[in-house]
Amino acid sequence: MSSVTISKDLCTSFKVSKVFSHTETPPITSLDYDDSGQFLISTSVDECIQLYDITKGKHVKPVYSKKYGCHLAKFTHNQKNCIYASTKGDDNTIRYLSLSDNSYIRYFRGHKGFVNSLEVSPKSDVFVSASLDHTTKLWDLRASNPQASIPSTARSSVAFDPSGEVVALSNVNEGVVKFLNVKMFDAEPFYVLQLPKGYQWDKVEFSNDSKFIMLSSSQYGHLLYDSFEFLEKGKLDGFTPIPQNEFASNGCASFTPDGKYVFSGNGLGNVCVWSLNPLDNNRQPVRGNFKPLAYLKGDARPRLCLWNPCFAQFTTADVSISMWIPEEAN
Amino acid sequence: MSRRPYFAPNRYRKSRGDSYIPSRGTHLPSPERLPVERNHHTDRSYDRDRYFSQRDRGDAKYASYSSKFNPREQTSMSRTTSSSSTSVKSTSSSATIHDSASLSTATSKNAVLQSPPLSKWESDTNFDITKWKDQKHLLHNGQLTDPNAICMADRPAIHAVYDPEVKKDESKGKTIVYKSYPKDSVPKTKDPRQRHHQSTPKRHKKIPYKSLPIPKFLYDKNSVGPEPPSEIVISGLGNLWNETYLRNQVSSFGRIEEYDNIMDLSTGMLLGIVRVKFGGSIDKASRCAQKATDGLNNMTFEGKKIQAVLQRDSQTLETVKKKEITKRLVKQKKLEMKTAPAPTAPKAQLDAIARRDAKRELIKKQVAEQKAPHVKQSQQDTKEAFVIPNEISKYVKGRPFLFIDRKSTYDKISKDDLKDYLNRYDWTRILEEPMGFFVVYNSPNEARRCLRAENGQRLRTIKLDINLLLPEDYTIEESKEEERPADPVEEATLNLTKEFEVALLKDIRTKIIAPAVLKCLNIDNYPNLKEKIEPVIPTLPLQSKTMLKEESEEAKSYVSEVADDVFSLQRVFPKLPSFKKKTDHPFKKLTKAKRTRKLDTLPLSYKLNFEDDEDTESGTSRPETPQLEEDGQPKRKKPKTKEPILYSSSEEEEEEEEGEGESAKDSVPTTPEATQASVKPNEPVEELKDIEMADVDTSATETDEDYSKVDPLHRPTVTDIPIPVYDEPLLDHLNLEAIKNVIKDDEDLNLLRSVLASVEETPIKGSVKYWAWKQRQIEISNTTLKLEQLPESLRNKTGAQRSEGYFKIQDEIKAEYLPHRKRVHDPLATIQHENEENESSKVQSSRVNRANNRRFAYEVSNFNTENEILKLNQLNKRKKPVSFARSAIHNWGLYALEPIAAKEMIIEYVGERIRQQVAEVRERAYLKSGIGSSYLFRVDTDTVIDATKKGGIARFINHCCVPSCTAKIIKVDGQKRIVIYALRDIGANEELTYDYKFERDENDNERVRCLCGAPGCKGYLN
Repeated sequence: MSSVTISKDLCTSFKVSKVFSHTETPPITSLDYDDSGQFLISTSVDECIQLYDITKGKHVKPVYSKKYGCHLAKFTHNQKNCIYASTKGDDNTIRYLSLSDNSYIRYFRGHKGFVNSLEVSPKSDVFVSASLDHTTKLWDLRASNPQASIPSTARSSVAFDPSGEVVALSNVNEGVVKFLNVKMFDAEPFYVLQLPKGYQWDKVEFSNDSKFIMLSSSQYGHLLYDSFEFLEKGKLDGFTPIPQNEFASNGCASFTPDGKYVFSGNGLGNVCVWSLNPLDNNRQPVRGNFKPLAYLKGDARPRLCLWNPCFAQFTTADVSISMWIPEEAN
Repeated sequence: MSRRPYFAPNRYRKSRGDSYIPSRGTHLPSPERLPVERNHHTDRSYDRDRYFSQRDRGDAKYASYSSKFNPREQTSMSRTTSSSSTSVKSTSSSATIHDSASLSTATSKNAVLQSPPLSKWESDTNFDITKWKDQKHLLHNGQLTDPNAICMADRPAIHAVYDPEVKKDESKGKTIVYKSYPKDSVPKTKDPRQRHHQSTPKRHKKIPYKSLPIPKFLYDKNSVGPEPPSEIVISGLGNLWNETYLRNQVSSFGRIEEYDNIMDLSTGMLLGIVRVKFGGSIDKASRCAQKATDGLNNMTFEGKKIQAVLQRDSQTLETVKKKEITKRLVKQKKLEMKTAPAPTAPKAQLDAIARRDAKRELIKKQVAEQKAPHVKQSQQDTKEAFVIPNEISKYVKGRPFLFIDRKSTYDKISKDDLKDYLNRYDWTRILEEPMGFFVVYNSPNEARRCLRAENGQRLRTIKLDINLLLPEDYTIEESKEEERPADPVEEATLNLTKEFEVALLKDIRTKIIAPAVLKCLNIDNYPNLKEKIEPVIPTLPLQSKTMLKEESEEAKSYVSEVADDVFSLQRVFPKLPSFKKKTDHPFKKLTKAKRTRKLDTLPLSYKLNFEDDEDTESGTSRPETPQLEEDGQPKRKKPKTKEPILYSSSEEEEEEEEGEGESAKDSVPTTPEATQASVKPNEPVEELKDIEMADVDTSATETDEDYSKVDPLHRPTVTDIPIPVYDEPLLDHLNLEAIKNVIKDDEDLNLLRSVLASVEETPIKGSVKYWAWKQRQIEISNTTLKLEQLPESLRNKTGAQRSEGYFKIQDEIKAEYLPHRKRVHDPLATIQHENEENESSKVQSSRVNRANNRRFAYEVSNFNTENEILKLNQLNKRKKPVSFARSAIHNWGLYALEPIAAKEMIIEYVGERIRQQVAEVRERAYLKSGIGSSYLFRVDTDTVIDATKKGGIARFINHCCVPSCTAKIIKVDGQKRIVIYALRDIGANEELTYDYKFERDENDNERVRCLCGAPGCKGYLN
């Protein structure tokens, strides 16, 4: 497999190559790639985790979790293991599932409310979860009890930075993003970023080159901040809000692995691409809004959008999963 | 929109020291933006109650500086704790109830965006999505609506200081220990990130790759867009091409599913276009097609450059087709336009005479033009001299070359094309000039060959007009080479005739000369020589004479036979009559003469069958047969340790003895019955021999009396004292049988009578014969009784075995009294040895057999190397018929079903091939499960063959200290196998045994008794 440089041309040449639409597929609520980029995992409202192989563009298998429901399935560093949050009943346990033999490795009990954000550290075997029980907890994959727990108002979302040392804990209600040191999780955040009034977001994301923090929202558009200086870099213009459904969105925008481009599902039924590279925009990225580079057509309902960490490929999803690859590959 | 509340009143917030972020004002819900579907509200009423009750319960105070708790015990703990803040909390919570209720009853007019209509799955299925709906609600108004959630915002921030699941420490207990920072001294943190942090070698999810590989998706039902092309179109093949060759070329890229020659529909002519569809899955086919286009495009195929394109749609083929048709039309028009057709010279085949004529003419002409190097042109019709351009001449250097006129090629052939095209010829250079192409050769013959084959041939539809041009210097060389026949047919005939000649010579030698020579050698043809021998003969006894005659006859017959073994000739000699010789006996001379004559004749017949044909007609062949020469000398030099009866031992005598012994062996049949008949019992053979010798001797010395007709036993001896003919038996007690054995003839009887004359006669009642029989029976019963006398230890006290009750008699004790155990292990002479010759031929035949088998196996393996079934087991072929039955030694034994000669292979020890470690485990398991017998056979230090569960019958072979067989480890096809070979001749129904060669066990109690009963039994197996 030959590599291609991520460039403006490449980013605008993406086409949908595969569509996985299981008949009567209910909405997909989360997507995640594994560390090697080979596997994609999705959860859908029909209490089913679907596993896909990206290298071949194939659906591997469904894993049902009818008893507990499933949401926010995230790969751990072991290729075929994942953790996911439950959606049914009083059970708010996070489960550690082995996809290869469909058995549970561990239950992470402790949350008393719906888990609405879950992130695995990119480097170590720890993960952070935020729940509607007004707590955010830090877990170790080896232990079933939380390693740390801090109060946080409901509707918090969490994100790890590429080094795995910092957690961005954003709280929509408070309108702030707190930056926490993972090693001292319950200590004071080392920075609290105040966001403009009235702005609501679904997801915080660090770019892989640690330059940007993106707050993405399917309703209010996406905001970019410098991840070290915490200065506002600008807004990604040209975004049309995506019609909402019953299920909370958790990320309609995604950085490319090099952190130079942002892909996002668009309310007009296409995928919007922005370039953060000053060369592509003919402007100094001091402050100001980013103009979209292109609108990619192919998926009419790109509610979720996620870039593959290791392949020139991204996936959009709503009720079906669309896999995009550059056209030259076809 | 400006009044949209993007946050909710933070009802449960608890200040956390410095991190306290003030609430942005309590929001009073306005009726316009508090929407909730009715059904939702009603559905949730129960849940809400529960939620709040839970909340109240969970409203515990965690003010402790360092608290230790287990989350699982949390509820019970919270019940027990109570605090003053509870009342405050409950008031605030009651307010929330109101808030919540008012929120849920309101409806939203300006819902952010309209929700998509209910999808089909939602109405059909009954998934529990209530939680989701709650979340959506939350999204709209920033309210927590998870009905089951227990708010834990008032819990202090904690972190685990000890978790047994992460790092176990017995001293710290089994439960997790949490700690929280005191309210007023929550530590501050720093940004732990480094600006330009180095990416760790460990692969993780967030590496900022600058370039990425593109995944290759397989085409299937999920793919979007048209199928990837799996067909290719090859064009530019011309009018005629080798389809098989093309197919082979293309199929090297993948399996061909369809192959079409595209025709011009209007004319029905082939267009030189081929459509190929690759088989297999779509993905594979498209990959093959891609590879094929890359590989075939612009490739030279049969001298033509071909084009290959992927057929993405049917248009591709059509355009290629159109292109080709127009091309052809243009070409045709061009041809028609040309008034004078292209100068395609008649395909002049090389004609030596014509060329020479032309040459001569050229020579004459070239005298005039001396400056430029001249060459003669082989073409018949072009008589003018060809002038090589100066720039070319330095490359040509007076070598022969072929010239292709550029005009005839229409500039369509490039130098490279020509190079490719002529690559099977040994040209040295191809030069491209404005006039045409020069193909320079080192050898005129090669140039000619090329000319002959290629002149007039087509290279990419263009007819090649090749002219051969030879420089002057080559004329002589060429004419020389010309005479050599280059025709393969002629060469073949030459070779064949040579071979025939050789075959004919051989036939003449074997079928004409050999019989003629043999005829010449016939003694009847030489009356003179016969007469020379004749005078001696009368002195010989009659018997000897006839024997001599027979012998000469025999010798002759021998000569005529194809003697494949020189050694076999030797065996004729022992048939010489055994005469006692005196040093200067005339007969000895004769035998010597006879021998030499035989020596002369025998090697000749032997030699006739060899290619080496020197002069065969002489007695000089003696040195070539050293074995025969040796024969004249005494065979054995080692003196026999035997008591001489008449003579002092001398070499010659010993020689004769040897001969005599052999003759006896030869003449007397060796069947046991026959041996018994000829050799009387009680008489040692040795003595018999001596007597014989004596007899023969007398017959030789006393020529006046012919004793030859007298039984050799009774011939007179030369000694003064008469020697007893029979050995005198030692009679320990006198009985009828003994007397019967002693009395051999009338003389003995008379003597006995005289001895017994004094004894009084006892009258016998009844028949004498019956009395004799009875006497014998009594005697026999007496002896057997003696045999069955049990040893003292075995005799039972009560007198009857039955009264003793059951007890086991040890094998070793049994061995002492059971007769079959006591059996003497004498080698059975069941193998028939008629004579030595016979035996050798038998051995040989088994060898030949083996060789044949091997050859057969080789042929079969050559014929079909893949078929495993046909793989022959060489060892199986050589197997001897054996069977197992109860054994006297131990349980079961293996028995030969027919006589087996010594050194023959008997059977292979077959079993599972296992490792040493496995063998040890198995041995223990077998012992445990009660399999006492060990069938494990060690091959080498690491391999053991286990025949316990799976194995051949060779495992039944018992141990014997004096075995009849031996186990050898041989390599067959690189694998070590155990094969049992006969150590000695084995009779039919004899038990096969071999030495187990167990290691000596140090512990005496562990040692296994040997029950083989052989005379040399060591008593123990190990």
